[in-house]
Amino acid sequence: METFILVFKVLGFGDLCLYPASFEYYAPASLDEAIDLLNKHREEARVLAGGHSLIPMMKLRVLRPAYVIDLNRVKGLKYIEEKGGEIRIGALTTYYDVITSDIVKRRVPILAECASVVADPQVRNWGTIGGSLSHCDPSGDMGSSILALRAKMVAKGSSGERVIESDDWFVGSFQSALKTGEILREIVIPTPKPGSGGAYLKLERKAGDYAIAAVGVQVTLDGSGSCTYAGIGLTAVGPTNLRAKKAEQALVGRKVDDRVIEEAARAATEDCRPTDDPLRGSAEYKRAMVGVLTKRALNKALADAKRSR
Amino acid sequence: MVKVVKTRVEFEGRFRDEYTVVEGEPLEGWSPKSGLKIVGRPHPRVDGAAKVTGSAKYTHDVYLPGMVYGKFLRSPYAHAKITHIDASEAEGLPGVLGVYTYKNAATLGFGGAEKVFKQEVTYQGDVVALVLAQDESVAEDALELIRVEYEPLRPLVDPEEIMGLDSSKDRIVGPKLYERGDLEKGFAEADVIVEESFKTQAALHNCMETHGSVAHWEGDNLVVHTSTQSVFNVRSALSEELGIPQSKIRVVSEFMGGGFGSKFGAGEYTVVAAAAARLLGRPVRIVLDRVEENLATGNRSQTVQWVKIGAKRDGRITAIHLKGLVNVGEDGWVADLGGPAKMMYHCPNVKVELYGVKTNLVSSTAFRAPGYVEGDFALESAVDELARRLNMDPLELRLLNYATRDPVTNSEYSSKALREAYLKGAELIGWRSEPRVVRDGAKIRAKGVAGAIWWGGGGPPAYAEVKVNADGGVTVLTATQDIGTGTRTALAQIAAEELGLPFSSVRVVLGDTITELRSPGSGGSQTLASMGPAVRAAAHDAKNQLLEIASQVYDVAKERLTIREGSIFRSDGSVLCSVGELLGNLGDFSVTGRGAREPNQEGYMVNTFAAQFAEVEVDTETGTLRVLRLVSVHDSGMVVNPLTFTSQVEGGVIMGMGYALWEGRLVDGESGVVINPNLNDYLVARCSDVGEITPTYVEPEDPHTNSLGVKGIGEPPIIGVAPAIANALREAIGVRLRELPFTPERVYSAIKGINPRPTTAKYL
Amino acid sequence: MTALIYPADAKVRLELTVNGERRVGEAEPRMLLVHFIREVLGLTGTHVGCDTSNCGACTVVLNGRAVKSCTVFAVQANGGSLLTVEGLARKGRLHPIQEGFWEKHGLQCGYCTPGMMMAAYDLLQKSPNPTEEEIRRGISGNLCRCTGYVKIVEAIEYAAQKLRSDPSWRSGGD
Repeated sequence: METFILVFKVLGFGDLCLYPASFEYYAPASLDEAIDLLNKHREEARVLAGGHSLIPMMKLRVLRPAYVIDLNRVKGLKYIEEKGGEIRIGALTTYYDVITSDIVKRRVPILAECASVVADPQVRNWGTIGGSLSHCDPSGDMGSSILALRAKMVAKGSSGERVIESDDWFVGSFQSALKTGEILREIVIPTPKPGSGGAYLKLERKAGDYAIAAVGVQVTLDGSGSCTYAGIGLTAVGPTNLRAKKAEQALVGRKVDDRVIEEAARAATEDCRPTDDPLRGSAEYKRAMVGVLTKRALNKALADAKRSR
Repeated sequence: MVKVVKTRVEFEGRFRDEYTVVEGEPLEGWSPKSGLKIVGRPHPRVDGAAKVTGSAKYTHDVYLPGMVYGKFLRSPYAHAKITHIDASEAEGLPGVLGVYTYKNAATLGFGGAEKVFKQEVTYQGDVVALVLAQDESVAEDALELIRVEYEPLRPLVDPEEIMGLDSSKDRIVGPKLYERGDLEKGFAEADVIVEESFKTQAALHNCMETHGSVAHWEGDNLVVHTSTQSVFNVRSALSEELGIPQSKIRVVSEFMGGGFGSKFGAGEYTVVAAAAARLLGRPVRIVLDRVEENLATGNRSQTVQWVKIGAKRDGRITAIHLKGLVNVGEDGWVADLGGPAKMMYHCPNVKVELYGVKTNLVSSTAFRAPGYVEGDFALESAVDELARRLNMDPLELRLLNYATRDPVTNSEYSSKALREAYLKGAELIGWRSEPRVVRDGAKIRAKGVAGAIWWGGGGPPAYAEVKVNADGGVTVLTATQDIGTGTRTALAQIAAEELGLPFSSVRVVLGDTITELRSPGSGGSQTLASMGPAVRAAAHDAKNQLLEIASQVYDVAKERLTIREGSIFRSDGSVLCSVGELLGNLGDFSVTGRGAREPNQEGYMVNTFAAQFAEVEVDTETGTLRVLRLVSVHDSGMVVNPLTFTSQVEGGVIMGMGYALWEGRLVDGESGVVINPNLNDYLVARCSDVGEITPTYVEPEDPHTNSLGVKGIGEPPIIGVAPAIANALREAIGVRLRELPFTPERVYSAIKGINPRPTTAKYL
Repeated sequence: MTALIYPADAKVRLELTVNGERRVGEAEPRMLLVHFIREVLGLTGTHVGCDTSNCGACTVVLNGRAVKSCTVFAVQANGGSLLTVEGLARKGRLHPIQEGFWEKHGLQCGYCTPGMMMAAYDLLQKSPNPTEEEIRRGISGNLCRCTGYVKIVEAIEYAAQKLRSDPSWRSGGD
């Protein structure tokens, strides 16, 4: 997590923070070119999208890529479309684009709720969904709503494209499933059926901070009020964004009432694996907050789901 | 006739004697009832244009031809010996002009270099080396190439731990003792006794502009641009360190990005920059980055306090005992936590014992009302608890024990309207008219109150000149600072009011020692109270001269003339001439008025007061706290500019909120390493964190302080905010939190009755 | 079309529109936009306030969107369009945002002010009639240590009203 990296930084060098180490800069015009460059330079290269995770780490010299591959001249990576029961989002789509998209607001408002609590307006203007997911920060918010929506990631490499399920995407802290030489191109979200609702609730010490804990919930109810789909993603309470599977199981196939919600919230506290953060909360506190947030997010998501029938 | 008078002057609660020169007759004191036309009005800032267009040049914006960038390498250890240091690779990097360590520090050419570059580092962030390079990027590259090996030594950062160690007696300073009356008797008389301990965290200033200086030499004259609250303090420090006369040093700080007490002296970076500039024959810039700022520029001390208060059943306080530990870092001074305990209430028996504890952290320094913010938190929380035990309204208890004379010296106050402030605040927040606690699902809203006391009034020496030019334009010459408070604007108002010339014709020069108009700098809430009267006196002198000239030119008796709105009027109300006409007729003529801050009146205690009322909302399921409303009512004497005044209150209140809820230096207790030395993790309030703030004031007449009746507003607004919030929280959840900051986890744990697991990370 | 390649340590020639004017300057790839603005373009109104992209003092408007210029490389702005605080006023007339900050006392030491105003500019472009809540959110990326934000919010409300009622400010900008 950010804090530990900074502690390491200060222990290591003292005070480097304004100038990254030198690097060679590429601005390819196509994704294929970008992939070729990545394959050529491998671990020595980093992809630049919004830059708001990469550049701060480069300034601290925690990351020292010899080659930076700027994707921002590549066309065709910034879009939000709905086609054939799927919502497709280009990897360079910014948080701001997500928040203001009509498709998102109508179909997957959880994504907009999530994007709108990330950092601050300036970061949301420039940070990208693809960048956030590739960065794979366990405190990153977007990952949890992606898990809740069971989205798929489309990665492109020199040998073509492959689809990665959200369950397989979050390999470890700051480690996504992307292999060296691959770039995330698109996020594909199965369009939720009618009777769906979502919510993303973030507990933070103050505006724009990293989460103490955050929960993203996406549910679908059928005509009788039974839950046919539940996706729950957890932020900042594990080595990666986590899917609260036990909590989901407590919901699916059942008529959701207060008691079921309590059960699911309790299960979510068992699904999470928080560690102590001296600034934001102990593991016990974070675990307890997962329970509170899950309950509140569920209530909100369910109300939306009922309304949308 | 010139007289030299000795007078008592207070600064940050400490007193000293000053000599001042008195010329001419004392001015009639101003008060809110004086019918002033320009003073007392909300004029927009005169320096607004420069700041909103980006043309204001701060120290960071000074770029000189051939400028060299200096950057320090700082210790990653809280306590260590440098066993090996090799700068050769760094020195060899193209663009590097020099690297200095303890091995060659003497070659920098000033005596104190060996104290800056030591072989044993004593806090994380302590200086290890300096790189001078032609570019900042090269300087950073060079820092990476300096090879250092350390032998870590045991760091000690926790005062409570240190107090328990026999081997660390040399780290303890004091006790600083104060006693009045008979404490034992006082407690024996008490029907109810409250005894509690409190902990407050170290807070870091985090001014938006970090510390920094740009130094260059013009021949054997040194010119330093620096971000400071006192150009004269910097000049005298440089003179001492470099061994050159003050007259050969010019210090400039026209625009600076905040101080809050952290920028009163010349930093190591200032002296080193000046020495390096002399050595290289090029300008040298050393500007700290935010991490250095948080590690190495000082802070508000962390404290541990024990408060014991006794009272009779009817609420009269009979005894107050305060013991405190003050974490002073390497070598800071012991801030007076006991101020509020000694001064707030009428109580005949008071004892204060303070211990300073030296730790392996940067030396603490002054930070907006040092000692009083910390001490008021403990005292006002304890008083609130006392009210509960007595079943009394907390406001009533405070009013019952209201001191009508200074309890320490038994002097009369120059003015005191704290009672009126309490009553006004109570009205504004609905203290009696609305329910004190309201439940709303998982949320609880509640209100709390706390009082605040601080110093005020200012004093000499402060000198000013007011020049009236041939075109009727006015220049106010001073060398004080405007650290953001609006000093420039207020001084312009004062000059315009006294002179009788339009506000728009006045410009103010400040922040440059070249004027040689000695000023106390800006801090301690005394800028306006010290410099304002000097400006008024200078304007008065200029006015007299103008009237004398008019009298001679037009052959009218001087006593029959006044100046108003830019013109000279006869006693029958008709216009004699405009000031511009008068001077213009005389060619390229200007008038220079001179003024000095008059001596302080003897026998009066000048204090400022505030009543702070907070309404908070607690989410009982998560422990998050939001301050819905903060009503802050001040007695600071006369208000020269309501706009700048209320702005100071708002800023101070939010800083107080930050102190209560979010801010705090987190230190790893074992390694002494600071966990959050940056703005990512040291949490400064943002706009959306803040609820409604109602800044207001009562304006008593004060004929016993300076000629403006102004007492000072820089610091009072931050005092008492934390206890008001603490008391509101206590009202809401029924449990008192006694450790700052009130993190959501701490509030949650208090509500659930859980004891949080101790960790090595502590707010120290 | 092939990739643009800028070798490390080489000074790259950048051309961009700055405050409506065509400007040229040189930068290494690793130079941050904020340093380029201050040291190469000589526009020192944009300030550096921290090293972890938190304070917002360096906020400028690049290609129509507010960004913290300490978190963008100068080379990324090549061929683009930049608006800094120095570009707000037009022909000596202060922008309503500048006027608001002055009239309503939305500043004290002034160090955060340029970044704060550029964030306000971005907000008012997106949301010409913002609620108080929206204003507070809109500047939540900018730290101010002096004012407590109260009068900053009033300043932005003033500016919003002025911009809505004065058509001469509506066109242009970036």
